[in-house]
Amino acid sequence: MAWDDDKLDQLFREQLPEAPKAPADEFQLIVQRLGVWARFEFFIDRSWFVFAATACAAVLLMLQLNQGQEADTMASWMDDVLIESTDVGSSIYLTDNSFD
Amino acid sequence: MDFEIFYRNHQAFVRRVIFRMSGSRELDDLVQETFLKAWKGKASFQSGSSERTWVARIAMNTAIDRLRKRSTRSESQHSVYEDSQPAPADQGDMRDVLMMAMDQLEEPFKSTFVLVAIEGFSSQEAAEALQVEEGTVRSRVSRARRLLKDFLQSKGVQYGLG
Repeated sequence: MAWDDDKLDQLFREQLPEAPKAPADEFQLIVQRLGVWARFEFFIDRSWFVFAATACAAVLLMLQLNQGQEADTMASWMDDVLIESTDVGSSIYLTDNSFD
Repeated sequence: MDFEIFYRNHQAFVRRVIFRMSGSRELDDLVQETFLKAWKGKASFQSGSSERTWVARIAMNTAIDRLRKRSTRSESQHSVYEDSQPAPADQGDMRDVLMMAMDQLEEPFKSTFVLVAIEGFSSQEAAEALQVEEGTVRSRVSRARRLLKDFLQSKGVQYGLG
């Protein structure tokens, strides 16, 4: 004889084992997990400000470092120019002397 | 929405549905996860719609996600009802055969069968919970019943033994 749909459903509804009982403190455990999540969310909400502030500080620092580096480069370039001009002057001086 | 009232109203249902879907393994964790997700996503609940249907959707998705993770971790196939050892029908334990039958039922037939045939959801409620068309629900339930009947017949379970 073929299985009747209702009979089949009833069989599963009535004969499958019941779910094990929930732990007595289940609600408290969920509340605790919600608390952790809420704190995390609180941090995430505010971390954008922290992130933005850190990013700004990093950019400023990089600019400052870059400026220092440019100044160093400029100073070293000036040194090179002075040395070269001194050398040129010396050579001119030597050349001039050679005419004497 | 008061969380404690919400929990008390749906705790038994959520536990039952998840147990039917994924067995006793990680049951407590999945129930907790369902309530966490529900509470976090309470803004997505539309007033006027059924709270039970909304919770069913979250519970089903949570259970299905976990089942997928288990299968992608290539864990050995075993009964989700770990507390009991399946036995052939001729050894007299109908319950074990039914558990085996549920185990072999794959998604999306299992979730649809659980909601409609076991939990008594209407096609419309199940369609809302599973986010599919009502026609899809009906065809899935029909297919699930056919698969279960074939399985029971293959195990020698006769009509009326339940």
